[in-house]
Amino acid sequence: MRNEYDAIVIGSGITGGWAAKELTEAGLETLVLEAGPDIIPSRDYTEHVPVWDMKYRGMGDRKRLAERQAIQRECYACDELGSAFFVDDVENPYTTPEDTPFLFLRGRQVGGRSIMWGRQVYRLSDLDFEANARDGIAVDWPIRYADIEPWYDYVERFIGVSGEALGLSHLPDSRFLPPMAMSCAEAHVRDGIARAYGGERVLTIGRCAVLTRDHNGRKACHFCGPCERGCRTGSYFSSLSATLPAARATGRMTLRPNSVVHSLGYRDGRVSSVGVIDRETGETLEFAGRVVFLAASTLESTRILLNSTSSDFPDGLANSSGALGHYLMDHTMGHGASGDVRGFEDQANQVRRINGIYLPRFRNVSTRHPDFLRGFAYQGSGSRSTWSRGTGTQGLGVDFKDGLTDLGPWQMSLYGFGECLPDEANRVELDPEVVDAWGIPALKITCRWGENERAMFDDMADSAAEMLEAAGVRNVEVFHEDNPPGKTIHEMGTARMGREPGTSVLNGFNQSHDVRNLFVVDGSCMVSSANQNPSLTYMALTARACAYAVDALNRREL
Amino acid sequence: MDRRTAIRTLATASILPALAPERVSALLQARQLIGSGTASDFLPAALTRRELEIVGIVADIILPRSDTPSATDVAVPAFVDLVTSEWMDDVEAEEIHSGLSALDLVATDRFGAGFVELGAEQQFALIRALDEQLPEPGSDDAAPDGFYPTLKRLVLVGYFTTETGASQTGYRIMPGAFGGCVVSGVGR
Repeated sequence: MRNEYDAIVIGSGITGGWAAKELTEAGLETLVLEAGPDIIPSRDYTEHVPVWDMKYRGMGDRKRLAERQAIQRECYACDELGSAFFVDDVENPYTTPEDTPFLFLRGRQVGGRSIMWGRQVYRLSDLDFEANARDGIAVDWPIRYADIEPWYDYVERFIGVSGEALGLSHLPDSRFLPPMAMSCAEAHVRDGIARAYGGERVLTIGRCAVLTRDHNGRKACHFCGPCERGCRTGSYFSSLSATLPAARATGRMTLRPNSVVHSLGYRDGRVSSVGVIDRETGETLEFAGRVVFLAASTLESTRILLNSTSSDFPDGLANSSGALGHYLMDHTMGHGASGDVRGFEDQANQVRRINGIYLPRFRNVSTRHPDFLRGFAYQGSGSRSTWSRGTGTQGLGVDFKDGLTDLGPWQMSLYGFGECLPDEANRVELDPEVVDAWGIPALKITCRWGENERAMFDDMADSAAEMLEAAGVRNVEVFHEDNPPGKTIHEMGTARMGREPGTSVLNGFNQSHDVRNLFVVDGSCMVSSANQNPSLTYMALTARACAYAVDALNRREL
Repeated sequence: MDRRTAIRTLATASILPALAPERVSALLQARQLIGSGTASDFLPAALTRRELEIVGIVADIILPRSDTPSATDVAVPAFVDLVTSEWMDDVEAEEIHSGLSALDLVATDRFGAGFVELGAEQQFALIRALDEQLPEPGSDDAAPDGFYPTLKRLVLVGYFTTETGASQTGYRIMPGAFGGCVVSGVGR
């Protein structure tokens, strides 16, 4: 195997796949290094395995999960079969201070977490890109919506996004494929909210990277349900279904699975080498590229940089600012309300739509909330309960059995996702005492919800309850889950962009201020979190960074 | 296990008062054809033969045979055995064992014979007393912990996750389309 390439991409997940596609299509011989094993959909995907063919009928191999995936199993997708796409917690340790939990939920395989992601895609807007400057918090984003808008268009044309155009300036429309249908309970609540709040609060179908018609050679969704276990028809976007095949088609991609990157070498202002340990053999290898794209996921990319020390960068590569590892964010979630919808007892939803509803942010959009900055959005759904409602209630005999084969009452829920402010104290560093199975220092993660995040929790729940009641939903109850940071799996920041090299790691093109041939394109670049699901923004930023890097290479500036 | 422990294990005292048989007889008609359902060559890994038999009787009281199969028809006791053997930790497994023993003991105390040896009405009366500890349908209250709520949950999971059980709820692996709401019973 050759050791020198035009470009090296570290990671093959949602951003690594995009970097691979863009760089190879631009003519660069590109090496993609993936820490985990290869995934072959026809062999490894399990979405069509029925529950009766699972040994534990979907309850999971609990003892094995407790032993090897005690943290990963906190994610709903890490179930009896989906657990194959989550890391082994024994091989991949991390630490947290006592009483400060953080859930570090990871996938290590070709395709990364693009296999199990939630597929919800929303654009950010200038309400988000201007937020830090407006509030005097952290640093200003070095870009505005106009900078990223054409790249959202570009990415969406390729991946395929289903949804409904609303014309909201603070949640710009994507280039939509036809929207999925709402259930009658959802449509009922949508209409009730529209009556009560006019255009100020809008309930819409979720915007998701799932095809509602054939698109770019990929088949429309057939609604089998468990997307997190893979998709043989490639109907939702993943690296495996879309970007990696495009990169492979150029003939210029070399994909090397089982390649655990431990550090980057540095010489004369550039990344000079990429150090790899073979996951299976333990062999150490070195590769070099004219340009290096770090796309290993937010915290793994930062971990590699922190572990890349030299006399020029004793505190981690590209860290002259000292900002590396700081300003870790995740979205808060789990505060909301639910209740019963009456009047559609003769109708049934299909239970596996693989998408929910979305209610965009309305706080601090045109008015100012007295208690907190920024805001939150809701996801949710309206559906009828299934047989499982019988597991915790009274009932015996034929009538009970027959009753459970029918659907139960309609229930509607709104589940909040809140913005998290960047805080220097929320950080990752290398733990001096713990290493992973390959001898690489583990991360010590310190992250707490701040005052502004917590100040939203009551309003998230109360506002959800008010809207449901205004829409005629009965028996409305608020709920508050106590979810630690990390649980939402939208971890971001720790190598933020910024205008000033003294206070940020990356410039507005995801390029290191310090190391000119180094680009970091995953969620670590984020300057603020907004409240939208972030993957679409990561993809758009990656495509944009690639175009910039290719131009710079052609001008011999890297 | 003594009587007091047995009652505590089942987490109820209401199991002891006699229940009017006529209140349950209608529901019992469906139970007249209880088969073992579990193949006789099935070798339980965690449960004794007698425990397996008790599980089968309880499971068929919860989900009897009608125009659709019963719990034992789809081998629910074997699933309960698997979960007790491989899925539960030692404390949880012990709760199953002691709960089944307690059922036998309370049966003897109340009716003078082991649970398996009781008549169907007496078996039903004992299980109904346990079932009444659960919240009523539609309630938002969480089910209590303990032997019977756990067993009932496993019976339902073990039933509705079989191909036979799932097909009764209209489950299809490949729905093919999502059309929002449809008339109930069609295409869900």
